[in-house]
Amino acid sequence: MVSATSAAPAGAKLVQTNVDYDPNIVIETQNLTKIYSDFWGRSKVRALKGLDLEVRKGEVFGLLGPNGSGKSTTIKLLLGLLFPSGGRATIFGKPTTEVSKNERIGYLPEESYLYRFLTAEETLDFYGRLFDMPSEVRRERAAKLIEKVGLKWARRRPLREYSKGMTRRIGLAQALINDPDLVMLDEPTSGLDPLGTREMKDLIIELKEQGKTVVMCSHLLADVQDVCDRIAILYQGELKELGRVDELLEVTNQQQIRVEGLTKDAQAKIAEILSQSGGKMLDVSSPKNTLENLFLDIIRESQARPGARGIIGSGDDNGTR
Amino acid sequence: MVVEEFRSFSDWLLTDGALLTFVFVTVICAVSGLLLGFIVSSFRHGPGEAFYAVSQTVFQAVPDLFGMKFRRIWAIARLAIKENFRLFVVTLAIFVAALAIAGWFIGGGGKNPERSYVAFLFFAAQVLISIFAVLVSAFSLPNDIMSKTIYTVVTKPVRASEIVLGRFVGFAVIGTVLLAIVGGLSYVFMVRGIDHTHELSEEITVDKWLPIVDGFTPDGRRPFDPRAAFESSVFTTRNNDHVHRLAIVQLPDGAFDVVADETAGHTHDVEVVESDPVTQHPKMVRFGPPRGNLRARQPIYSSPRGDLAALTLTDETGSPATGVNVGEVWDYHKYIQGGTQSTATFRFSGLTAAKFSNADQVNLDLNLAVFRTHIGDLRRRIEAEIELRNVVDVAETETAQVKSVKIPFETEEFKVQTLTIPRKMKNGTIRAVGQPDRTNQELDFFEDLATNGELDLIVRCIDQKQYLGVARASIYFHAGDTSFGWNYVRGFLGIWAQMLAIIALSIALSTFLKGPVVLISSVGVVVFGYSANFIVFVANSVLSTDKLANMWGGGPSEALYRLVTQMNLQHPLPPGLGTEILKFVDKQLLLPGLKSLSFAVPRFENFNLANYLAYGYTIDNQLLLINLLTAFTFAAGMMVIGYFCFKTREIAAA
Repeated sequence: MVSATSAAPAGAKLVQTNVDYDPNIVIETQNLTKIYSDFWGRSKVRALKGLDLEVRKGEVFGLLGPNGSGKSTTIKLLLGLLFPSGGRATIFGKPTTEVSKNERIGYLPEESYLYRFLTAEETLDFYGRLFDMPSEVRRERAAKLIEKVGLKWARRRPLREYSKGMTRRIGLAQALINDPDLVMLDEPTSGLDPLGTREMKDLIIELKEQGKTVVMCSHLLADVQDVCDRIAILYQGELKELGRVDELLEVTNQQQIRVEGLTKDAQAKIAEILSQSGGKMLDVSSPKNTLENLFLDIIRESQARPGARGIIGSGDDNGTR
Repeated sequence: MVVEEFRSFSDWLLTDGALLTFVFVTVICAVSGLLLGFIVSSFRHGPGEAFYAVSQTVFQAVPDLFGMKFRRIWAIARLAIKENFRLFVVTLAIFVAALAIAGWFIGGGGKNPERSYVAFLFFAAQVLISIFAVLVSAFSLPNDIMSKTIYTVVTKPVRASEIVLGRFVGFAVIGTVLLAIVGGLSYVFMVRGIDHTHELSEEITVDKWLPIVDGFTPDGRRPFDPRAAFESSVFTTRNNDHVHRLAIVQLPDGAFDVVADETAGHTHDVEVVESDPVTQHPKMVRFGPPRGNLRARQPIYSSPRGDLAALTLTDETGSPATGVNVGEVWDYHKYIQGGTQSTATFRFSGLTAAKFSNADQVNLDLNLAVFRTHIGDLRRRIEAEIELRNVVDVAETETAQVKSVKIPFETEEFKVQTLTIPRKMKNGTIRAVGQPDRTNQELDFFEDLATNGELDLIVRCIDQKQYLGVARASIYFHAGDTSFGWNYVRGFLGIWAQMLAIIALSIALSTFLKGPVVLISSVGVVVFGYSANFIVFVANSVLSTDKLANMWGGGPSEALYRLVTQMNLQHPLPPGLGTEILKFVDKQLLLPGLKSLSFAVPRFENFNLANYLAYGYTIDNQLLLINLLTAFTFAAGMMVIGYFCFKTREIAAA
């Protein structure tokens, strides 16, 4: 895997030649550069500088970086919404300006840019038509997706009456209307409540399990950490890091031991053994659940037993607290 | 009605150079587009890459054209329809409100109320539909780009051609539905407004009968119906701001019939409901609905035959002439002098019995002008006569010259006058080579005179020192009437063609401009298109080397200078460098440039076919075809421009 970071060479040209298509490589960029120019063609911003990237089939790939780092520009270049100033990019072996590549792509933009005068059903029907789907297929997929994103009760309401979270959900449904092989999600959890965020992450994992490739960009590290196989970190248009999440997050010079039901004596003995082996015990503590998990447990329990309080800490649970 | 153009579709396409203009404009646009694309791309990527990018864009147009799917086009069209439904309702409401207000002002009164109705309704429909067309198509795509909803569309397998064409189809559909409703409403509004009947103001007693003696009424007027034995001093009740006079016609069997005169452009069928049991004199009558105001005459105009013009004139000696100059009047009519050998010959073709709704008698409609040099007999109008002749083929020496008897008539100015010619005419003359003339012959209009459908009609003015004004459309054979309702639909087809052109124009502009700029630009192009005929006229006049043809006031910059300095049109410009610059700008830059540009836009003025309806003429198929093809060609051109502009646009860079 390419991990080199290189600035775009001066006067980088748009390379139009195609390469032999490797079906395991879904996205490939070589020296991809984007310079925003003014009306007269003068360079204003170098939004992306010589990006080299490969996204493989079936992986969840995260593009990370602070605002203005070039994440959305990369996605837009890949989708053909922007034309590269230099370098090349292919999706499924086709140039990004090729329309037919879109048949296998689902795209959820940063905000759900949908027609607010359409209902959820009409929205999905419209996007289904754009994929040239027959009416029976459109109807079946739309019903399934509306059910999946939990908007069955509001399927006939125009989107202008939707909350942000609901709009996000229908946006996700439109991205999946064609059962795509590659799903591109721009800030997928933006505007979602914790429950929606978890559902979105579950869905991403589900897509991965179905063998689909997912590319998402986000600045919410926790989201990315939870679902991504590999990540690329961009900063000011340059690729700073690229690799597997578990590898990147591993603290190689520290070990953590988690045990259950250990007595004080046993703890002392373990410390002694560590000391004899040249190690030093930093801390022994019970592992902590994440806030997100706690919140979700509470919500789920509240939904299961309305009116009850303090269920999670009552002692009859599985000891998560 | 003034008709100055008699072009057939083939004449327009080939002889008048429409096809050549199309090819020329297409080539210019294609070359300019390629050059512009190459220059812009060169700035970004350098000349080598620019050449590659331009050729790639051009070649990609082929799959984008043939790979279009109806389902995708229709999806975008449906979206465009839904998006603009609210504006559709608002426009319709405005039109209904306009009708309601107009109902207070446009009554069934006046000389020709149908003309007021048609003029208003067509103007209102044309303006409203044009505004609707510009509004829906100017803002749709820019709004999509601004709100970024276009992101979710272009990231689907949708081609730029489908996005542009889909929008055109959607706007065309919603505009067509709106136009159909507006047309239907306006038709009902007009028919209801004009529809009326009358009652008798009093009983027609015998003492109210005014006998016609020697062709005149007791008060010295010609009776309005030449068959009338009596005119009545009884009028109808006043309705729609007019009354009708009645005449009593004695039929060959001795019975009496009552007819109403033509007032406000119409008459009424009159049914006798009560007669005197002894004398059979009609006493009470019932009036039917108005008749004759909403009609669609089907004229057969004269047409050129070989090298001969459709209408030729001779002077007082019988020599070919261009007509008498009667002074500084509108030059539509050419004048022939009365009481001399001066004639006007109209050449007709295609006069077959099948074309006439009633071939037993042929109606000839006259729309003649009169120029009087003296008052003459006040009780008489200017007298004239016509003569019909067959066309003798000079190569066929055996063909006999067949002439009808001279048919006298009195001219009626400012109205369409109808002469009814029976198919079987008496007292004709047949002159064959080497044989004595055969006179008093019975002639068949179609078999003896209009042989092979060709006929010459000669008009003479009888009154000395009076002049008869003729134009090509002054005399025509009236083949029959078509349905006014269908003619109304054809009139709206003109507005429809204009709407399509405006929609395509605005969509093309909206692929690279922002909404408000598109709005202003579209209106500008439409105004330019409306003025194109005038611009060409001014350019031809100012650029003409013939001093007499030069119009006063010069070109646009000279006119502006005169306006600002309040200088009279005839006053010569002060000599000097400034004047030379003004004239250079007008003659070398502005007028040639504007004239050239005028060929790239439709003549929007020509889409207005309301005059045909207002004056009761069928809108010619050829004219309709010319209008529709003009609009479709322009729309197709705009679609192509729109496609390339949208295809090469960076959507997310906006």
